[in-house]
Amino acid sequence: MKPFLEVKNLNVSFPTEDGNVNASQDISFEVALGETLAIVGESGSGKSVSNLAIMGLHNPARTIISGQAILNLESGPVDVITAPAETVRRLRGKAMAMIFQDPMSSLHPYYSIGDQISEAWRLYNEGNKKDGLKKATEMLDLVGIPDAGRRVNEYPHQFSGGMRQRVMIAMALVNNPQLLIADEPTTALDVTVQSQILQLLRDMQKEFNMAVILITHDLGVVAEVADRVNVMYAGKIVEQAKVDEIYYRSLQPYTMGLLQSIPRVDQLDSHRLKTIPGQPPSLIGLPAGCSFRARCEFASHVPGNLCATVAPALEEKAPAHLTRCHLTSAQLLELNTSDVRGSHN
Amino acid sequence: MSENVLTLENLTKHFDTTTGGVFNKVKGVVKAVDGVTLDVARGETVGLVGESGCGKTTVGRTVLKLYEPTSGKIIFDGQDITKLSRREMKPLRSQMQMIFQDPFASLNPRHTVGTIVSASYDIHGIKPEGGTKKAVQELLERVGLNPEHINRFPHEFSGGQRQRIGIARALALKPKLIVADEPVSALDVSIQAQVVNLLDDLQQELGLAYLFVAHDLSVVQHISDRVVVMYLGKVMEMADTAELFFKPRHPYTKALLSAVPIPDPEIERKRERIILRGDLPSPVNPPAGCVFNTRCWKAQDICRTSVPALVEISPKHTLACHFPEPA
Amino acid sequence: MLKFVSRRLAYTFAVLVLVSIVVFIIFNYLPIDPARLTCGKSCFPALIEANRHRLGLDVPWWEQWWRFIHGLFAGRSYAEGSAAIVCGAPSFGYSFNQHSCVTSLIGQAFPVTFSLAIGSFILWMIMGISLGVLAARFKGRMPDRIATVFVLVGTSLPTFISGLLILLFVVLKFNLINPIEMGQWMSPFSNPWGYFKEFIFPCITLALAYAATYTRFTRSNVIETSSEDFIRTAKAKGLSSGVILRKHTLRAALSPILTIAGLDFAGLLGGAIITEQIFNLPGLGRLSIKAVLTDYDLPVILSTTLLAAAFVVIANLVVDIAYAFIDPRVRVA
Ligand SMILES: Nc1ncnc2c1ncn2[C@@H]1O[C@H](COP(=O)(O)OP(=O)(O)OP(=O)(O)O)[C@@H](O)[C@H]1O
Ligand SMILES: Nc1ncnc2c1ncn2[C@@H]1O[C@H](COP(=O)(O)OP(=O)(O)OP(=O)(O)O)[C@@H](O)[C@H]1O
Ligand code: SF4
Ligand SMILES: [Mg+2]
Ligand SMILES: [Mg+2]
Repeated sequence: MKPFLEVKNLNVSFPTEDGNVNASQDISFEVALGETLAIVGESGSGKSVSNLAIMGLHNPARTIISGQAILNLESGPVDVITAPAETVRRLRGKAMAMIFQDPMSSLHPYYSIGDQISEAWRLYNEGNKKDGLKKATEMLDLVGIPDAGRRVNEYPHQFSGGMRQRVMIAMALVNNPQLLIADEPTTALDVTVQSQILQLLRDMQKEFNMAVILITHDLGVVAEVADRVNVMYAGKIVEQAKVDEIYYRSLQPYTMGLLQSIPRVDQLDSHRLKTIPGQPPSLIGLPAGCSFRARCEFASHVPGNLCATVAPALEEKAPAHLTRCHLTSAQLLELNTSDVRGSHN
Repeated sequence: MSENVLTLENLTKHFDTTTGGVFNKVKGVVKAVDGVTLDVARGETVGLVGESGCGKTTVGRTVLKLYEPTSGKIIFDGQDITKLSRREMKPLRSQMQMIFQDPFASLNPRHTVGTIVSASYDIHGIKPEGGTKKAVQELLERVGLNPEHINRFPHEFSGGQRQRIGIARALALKPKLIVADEPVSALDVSIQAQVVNLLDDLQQELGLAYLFVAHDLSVVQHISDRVVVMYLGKVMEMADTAELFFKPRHPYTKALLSAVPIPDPEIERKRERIILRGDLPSPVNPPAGCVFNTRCWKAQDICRTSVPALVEISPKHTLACHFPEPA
Repeated sequence: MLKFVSRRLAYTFAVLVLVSIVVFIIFNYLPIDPARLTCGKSCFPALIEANRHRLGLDVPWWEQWWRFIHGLFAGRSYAEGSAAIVCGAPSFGYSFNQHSCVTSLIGQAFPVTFSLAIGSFILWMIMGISLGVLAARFKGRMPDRIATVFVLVGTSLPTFISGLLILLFVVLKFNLINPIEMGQWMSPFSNPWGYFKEFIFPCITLALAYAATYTRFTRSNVIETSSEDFIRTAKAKGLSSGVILRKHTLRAALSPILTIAGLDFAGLLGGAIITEQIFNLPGLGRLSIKAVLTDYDLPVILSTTLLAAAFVVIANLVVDIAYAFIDPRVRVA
């Protein structure tokens, strides 16, 4: 069986006065039903942009999109990039749903919670307002909002941040979507609430057997929920593998640097943090060669001036483990000091 | 000279919440900080953690007398500054500085980096040796910025660089204490590490003390010598970093720590989590008894009626709980 | 909700009382003596004093104020005996210049001003909002450019110029209104066509200026709201762009417009001085300007000033209550 979502060579760019912002380049990945794919990367690396393209949420007048994103629906495959806008709209909220980072501003301040969930449900189901509210109450109950019958008539400002994110989840799931894209769903929340929401997402995934894409920049969250991981840098996927591969056998200098630059609560380390010098490049007029070159400590191991002249392709350098780097897998494994298990014994 | 650069005794800061409008009436009181006792030794870093709204920022701002404390005592460098007026505070201001969370909002976009950093000299009428410009350039170099960029504007810098500008500004007057309010929260992980290291280095060289406010427990653990855990304006637990993170005694500390995800999939798979029920109660109307009792899994009747006192259960380890976890 | 409304009502009442007191104080301390103006060259002190008494200006301002308020509810009479003049409640006083109770002067002028206000209000709201929404929707394209030109012209052209232009080059040029009929009150019930002809051009004049402002405001509000996170949520739900615009964007974008619209409308109810003057309409604006410039007719000035203030204060109340219905965040506060 084919995976539910297949993204192939997706490019997204924004023409601006200063030039084209190449926000996502050559993005290819798959997600199967019941699987969680985490997309991790720094701010501006193109995590949101590529997923908004899958949802068809970019302004077509100001965005250039190419490539494919195929949803393998029961009724047959649909490429949401080339399909007519109306077809894609009818998949939104039904086959694929999305929740966003800021639960404070993502709900309409003037409509009650019940109205907003019911609106989503009635779009794809026969039923009057009353049925909609009943469904909304059920959903609130499902996502663990106490006293759902009463709270369904309340307004967003009467809910805390964590509860609003639950409402967003309830609304996204009301039509049993097969794909849920969660764009930094817990970044604005406290850790205690974050663990509640992540737990909820896991439960809901089991309940609805969904494909989940979780966008985050928190490597702890990735380790907690992901089956597979895309690491993004400067608009490209630089590493793609199962979660354990990423954390224990990374084949990507950027990922290694990232893993080593974060302190951990469960290890008492008073040594200096390892840093990645410099900062990510501008996405306008990216220089030739590897985008990470200027910050990469291993670039000198590559013969010639390859890193500065040729952009590495995303290649499979170990089974089901793709990476963008000119170094060979043997070299990378030798240079890798980021195996997170190595340090805590 | 006392050994502590800062001592807070039972510090309290309440805000009136008002109805708004013309007949602005006081509706209630937010006990943003409600009896905080802590101290910061010279050259030491004390971390202040807790969920959003627990009063971390308010503590920081009250310490610098940006807010007038409602009650309690602030002792800075052996001197009681609680009652000092703005004018009396002025000579002390140079010795205590603040770094803010938002490197974008805290720098005036119309001023050059040079103006921003040298502002403290002007305010305090100080003429640094060798001239202001040279001093500013030295500071920029010190925080890892190119000293030639003295005439650039904040928008020409990245987030991490702007935070460095903020740090340079705070360092200008050679303070003894820096209150850092979420200094790395707005930064990306790879940049965060750079700033954390910078703060570390500066402490080593200049003997600074930090009151480090943050909600990211991993960073706090890394940078702090001692850590204070706050909840709804109150101190729940305070101990040396190692003790607090590896032998937490307060149920809240334990829950908080167990909620922090660890970047190690194997550990995550095996991990038992304490998932707290519900949300933070409103600070306008905090629960009676122990403020944590509504979300605590160990709470008994006594927790709902009597406030647990903050007691020192072992040397340098204080705790406010009726049923602490076993040591 | 009831508590909210009653609190706002009490507040409105208090403001009205305060405003009336302030108005009385101001006119009391203005260095103009209305009694002195009653007799021109033939004045001698005794006559001035007598007239001052007749006008009710020989008592301190708080007494004058109290008489005014009392008159509002109980009616008021001037002079005694056979010469007595009685203005029934609600009495705004008596104008000795025009030999008429102010209430009836206002009664004649108000329908004119009201017609002008409501007509232009409807026109400008329709024009401004639809043009603003179109401009926002087709940002950077033709409708937006047309709107930009319209906004530029509308805001830079003062009413007295646009009014004169319309009067000269449209109304008089094509003989749309008989110049003799101009300025006579036509009842919308007995002469609807005449009423329409009389008011449509002044309404257009007035609406043009407001419509430009409202176009600009609507446009920027709609654009701003369109980039709100909750609009992205609505899109992600799969709603069609029409529903998103009507149900989600406009509801949020237009509510702030409601506030200014209410206040602008109330402001017009106090009289549109320039437009009334140009089209020779006998409304409140002309009533007050005449009272100020030619007669210094204090009772009329006081009354129109108070009335204008009252409209604004009441509009404020209505807007606030309407807002509470629209925005749940205000409701519980
Ligand atoms: N509409 C747009 N026009 C121009 N540039 C854009 C637009 N949307 C996004 N970008 C740019 O595209 C790049 C990728 O943005 P994206 O939102 O995908 O980042 P992200 O990885 O989601 O980051 P974050 O963690 O901050 O959410 C950024 O440099 C951003 O400035
Ligand atoms: N100036 C103020 N007036 C009224 N209330 C205030 C004021 N400043 C803070 N508060 C309230 O005091 C409480 C503590 O706020 P504070 O900003 O100190 O929290 P914090 O721990 O810094 O939270 P965060 O992690 O979100 O920054 C909050 O409930 C807040 O709403
Ligand atoms: S005092 Fe009681 S409620 Fe508070 S933390 Fe301890 S056990 Fe929990
Ligand atoms: Mg994003
Ligand atoms: Mg804060």
